[in-house]
Amino acid sequence: MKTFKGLATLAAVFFAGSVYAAGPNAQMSQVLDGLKKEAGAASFSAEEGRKLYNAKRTHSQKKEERSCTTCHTSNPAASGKSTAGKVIEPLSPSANPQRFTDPKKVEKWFKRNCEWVYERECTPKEKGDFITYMMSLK
Amino acid sequence: MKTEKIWDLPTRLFHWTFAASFMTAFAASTREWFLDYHVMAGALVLAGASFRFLWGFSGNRNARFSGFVRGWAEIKSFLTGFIRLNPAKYPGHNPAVGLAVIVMLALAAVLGATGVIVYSGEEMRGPLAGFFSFETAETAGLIHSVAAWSFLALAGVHIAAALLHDVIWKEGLIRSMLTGRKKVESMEDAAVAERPILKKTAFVLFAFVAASAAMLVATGQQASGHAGALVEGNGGFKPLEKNIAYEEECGSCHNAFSPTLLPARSWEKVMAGLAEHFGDDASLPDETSSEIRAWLLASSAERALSEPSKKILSSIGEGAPLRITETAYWKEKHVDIGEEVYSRKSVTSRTNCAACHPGSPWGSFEDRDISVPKV
Repeated sequence: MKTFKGLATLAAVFFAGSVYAAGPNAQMSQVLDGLKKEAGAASFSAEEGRKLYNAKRTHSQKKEERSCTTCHTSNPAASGKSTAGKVIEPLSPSANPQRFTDPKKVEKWFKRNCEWVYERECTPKEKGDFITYMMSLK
Repeated sequence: MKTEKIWDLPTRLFHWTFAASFMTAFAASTREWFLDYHVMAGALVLAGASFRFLWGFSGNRNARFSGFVRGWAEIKSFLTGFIRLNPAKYPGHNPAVGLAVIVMLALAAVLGATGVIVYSGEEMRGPLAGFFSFETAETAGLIHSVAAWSFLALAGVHIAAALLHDVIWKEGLIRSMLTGRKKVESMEDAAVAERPILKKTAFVLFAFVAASAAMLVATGQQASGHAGALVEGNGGFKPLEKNIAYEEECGSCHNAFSPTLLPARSWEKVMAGLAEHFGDDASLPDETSSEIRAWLLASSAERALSEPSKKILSSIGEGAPLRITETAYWKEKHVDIGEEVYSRKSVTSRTNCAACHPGSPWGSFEDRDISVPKV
């Protein structure tokens, strides 16, 4: 069982790595296409994604400045730290090939973290820009 | 006055081994992570006592109980003389030391027996792991420490008295415990029967007890390979199973704390309040949340067979704390850890259990595993 798990992990890492080299994997391409349709946009902008990532906003209840960079740091390729002090692996696929490979996880964290920073869900356009920005990082 | 051989070599070796191993065991009991050394030194104390007991029937005449165990009247008369600074002279053990020898051997036996019970019932270690209940082990632990302090006090009196004999009466007592020889006025030649078989048995017993202890520690070592906490299940106990949803959902933002460290009522409270979880919205889809909740409740402190679970439970009374670090037991155990330690780069927070307890993801907080990172 353990060996199987190890092999599976190895395969997953390898697979994810090879996928990164080729851009978003099949599942993520589908997600991006879906987002494009929803947003009614022809393409996404990495530059807009960069702005979204670095934007700072004061939370209406907590009265504290919040941003993606609060936890992920201003460098997406670096390790971050959660508010509870736990290390967060790099967000950028260039440093962490497993990022943006699992649509379910991507959606889960958009939901939780858009709420944390912006107190609302992110729009399809914002999500698309954000993913495009992360994928564009080398 | 002539110089006579008073103490045979095995008696002398026993004396110093006994003293050194007791002091080592006592010193090692001050820190959790010295448990192995404590057990090994404690075993030498027990091995020494076993040896000395048999040697008390087979050693030379000054080593034999028959040579120094006296009635209460003689002990009293010796002590009266001692207080007047004019004690009666005995070539071997005086009647007071004779009593002390008996008491110390008895204390060693009590320490050994209760030590084995604590190791089995509280630490869940060794071949008898879990044989004694945690409650029995707690009582045994209390007796163990009373016996240890009594032993220490008696040893203190013994050392003070020996110094008096040497400094005031210049008897060369301490030296005699090294060389075996002492100046005596007279020594009656009471012949003692040779008991070669008993003699040999004494050495074999020493080796046997010492070897058993080594085995005890060795098997404990195996068990600590992050065997983890045991929790109730299927009518018995089974190792704590990890829960992937818990690790992914809860463990993404903070350390995935061992469910064995808080009671079910605390976990109920945590899971009911995820929307406002220490200031953050940590709500989960119903399905995930109920899966995690069920796992937490099935692995909570009440159902876990581990020392910290039991001790945290009894330290919080009826309370339902939300933070493990708020419990009285946690605080008591970490009282020596300064703020600076929590701010070290590899620790970052007092909630990072695994920084010092590598087995914590498995609910294992073994004393021997504790290792505080330097940076």
